[in-house]
Amino acid sequence: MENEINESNLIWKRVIYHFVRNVISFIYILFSTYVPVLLVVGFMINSVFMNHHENGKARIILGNYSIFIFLIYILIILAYRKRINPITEKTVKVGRIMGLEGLDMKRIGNGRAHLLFLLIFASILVSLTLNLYGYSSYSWIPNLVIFSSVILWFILWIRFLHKLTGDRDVNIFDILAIIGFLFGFLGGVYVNEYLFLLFALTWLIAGIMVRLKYERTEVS
Amino acid sequence: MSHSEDFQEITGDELYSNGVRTGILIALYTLKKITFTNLLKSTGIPKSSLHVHLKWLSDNGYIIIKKELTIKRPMTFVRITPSGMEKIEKYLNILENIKKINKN
Repeated sequence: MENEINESNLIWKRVIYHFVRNVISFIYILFSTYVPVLLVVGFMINSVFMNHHENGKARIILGNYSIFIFLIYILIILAYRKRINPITEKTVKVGRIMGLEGLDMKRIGNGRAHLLFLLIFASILVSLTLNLYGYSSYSWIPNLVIFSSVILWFILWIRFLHKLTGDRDVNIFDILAIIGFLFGFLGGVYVNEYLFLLFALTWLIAGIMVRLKYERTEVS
Repeated sequence: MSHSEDFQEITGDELYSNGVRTGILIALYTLKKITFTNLLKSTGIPKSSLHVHLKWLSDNGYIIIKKELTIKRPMTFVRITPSGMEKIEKYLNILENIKKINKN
């Protein structure tokens, strides 16, 4: 009977691993679009609209476009989290019974993961506001929080996936995303803001490749 | 329920005594629904074998297999029924009880 229990445990872990991989690929792809969207919208606003709205409310709204775009991303991620929340709760419940209890499951399942997301969002919002109002010399503080939070997010997911699969292999595209984030973020902040595109490109590649590997396709 | 009664309940049940079927149903309990191909890819079970397991689960009223139109193309979805949910909740409770007893 123990064999049957272990077998069912293994099947469940494999299916959940695929699901988690799909979630991660969605996050990679979603955030890979953030920098290009900012650039395109910024270019459009500066070259087309700003010339026609020299004064007034429209200029303020258009000038703060980065915050509005960021809020749209927050709404997308919150809606997605709400959608997958029942699955997360059940994964934690079943995982605990299946013997996957421990630090990683707790961190993924309870408020700490939510807190991490909120920390990233709040820091980006503070960073954007500081830049917009000319206090960019202070933006190293939220930048440091964003940087640490994203690295922590990676460690959390990778440790969780290791717990699920029981092996120590790291997916090559996760490494690509980590490297892209490190160089893209640091380069974008300290060298040239166009280096943020490196982050966007690597996350897009990682997202698509992970998606292709674990795609939810269907039989015809 | 005692340890031996719990164990008897698991061993005596046709569903619980098959690890693959139970595993599929636990996965569906967690996700609610899944496409056939995703299930095939993630579990690594051969297609014919998966068909047999799904047919058994469907015949016993634990899952529903339905082809649905999506933006991409028609997809076969596998969904858990309330009866399947109940069965897995019972299974998980038994496992939890066994775990608790083994701990003490």
